[in-house]
Amino acid sequence: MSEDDDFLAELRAAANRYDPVPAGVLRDASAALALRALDAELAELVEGEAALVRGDDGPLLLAFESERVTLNLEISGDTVRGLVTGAVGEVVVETPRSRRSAPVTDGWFTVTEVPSGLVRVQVTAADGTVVVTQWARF
Amino acid sequence: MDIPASLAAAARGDQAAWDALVRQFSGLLWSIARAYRLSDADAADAVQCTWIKLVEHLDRITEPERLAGWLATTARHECLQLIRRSGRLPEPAEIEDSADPAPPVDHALLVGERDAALWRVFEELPDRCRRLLRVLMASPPPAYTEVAAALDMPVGSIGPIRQRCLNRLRALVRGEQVLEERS
Repeated sequence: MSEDDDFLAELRAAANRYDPVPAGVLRDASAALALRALDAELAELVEGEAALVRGDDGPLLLAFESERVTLNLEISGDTVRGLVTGAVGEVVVETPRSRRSAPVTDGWFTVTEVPSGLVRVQVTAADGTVVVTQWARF
Repeated sequence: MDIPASLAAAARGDQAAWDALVRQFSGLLWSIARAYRLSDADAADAVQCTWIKLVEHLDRITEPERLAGWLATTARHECLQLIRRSGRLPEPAEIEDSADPAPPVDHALLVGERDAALWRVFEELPDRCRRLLRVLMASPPPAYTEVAAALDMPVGSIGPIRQRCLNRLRALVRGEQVLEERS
């Protein structure tokens, strides 16, 4: 071990002592596996990553597309509004800690009080296939 | 640990294999978030989003042996997105010389207190040095390729910058000890 390596090891010990990974962060990481949308078709973000960045106070607009459905989301404050084509029944608006379902009327749905962070929307295509969007940050 | 095997098992829904990956790489991801000076809440958010993105991509990681680099790159993107969202300005490249006295130092740098003093002095480093060293401090120690991915810098530049930054930190520690002796 060089002198630099020794010094870095000392710094690592200090970081472990004064800024360790919080237990809650490890718990959330462990729980993330359960958020897996097995067997669901993925609707991917159509617009570039720039679409994830909100403009000045305007709503965040996101477009997702899969083989079977298209989904346009408009996120403003804690309200997620969406327009779906190719889907039937309810939508589920999901965050890492919550799931809220909403009816779809003429293709539109609205879910309020969505905690900020990551969100994704799950719909059912006309042939019964479950389709889920990629996670998006808002 | 056999990362490709753990990744494959996690993709089949094996929680124990997933938890092994979490234990292996959470230290790196947390260090990256801290290197970008995220607060407790934002750092937790960036790390969780990185894991969720991995869950989303479990079937699509094309080079499982490079998982650490993938995680580091994803964490960097998450951190930068959070920083952009909060409208926080980037840190200045160099800290200004301040006339303020250094924070009071306990009288004797006893063994137990040396870590605390080192940690305090570390925070006074210029941002570029602080950022690199904070990632290098991750447990277990990251490979240079992962550090390069985390900070978007050439792998070859890490060794020389690391050496310069450790020397700067040594100088700061010595300076603090001098202050200590004078007080």
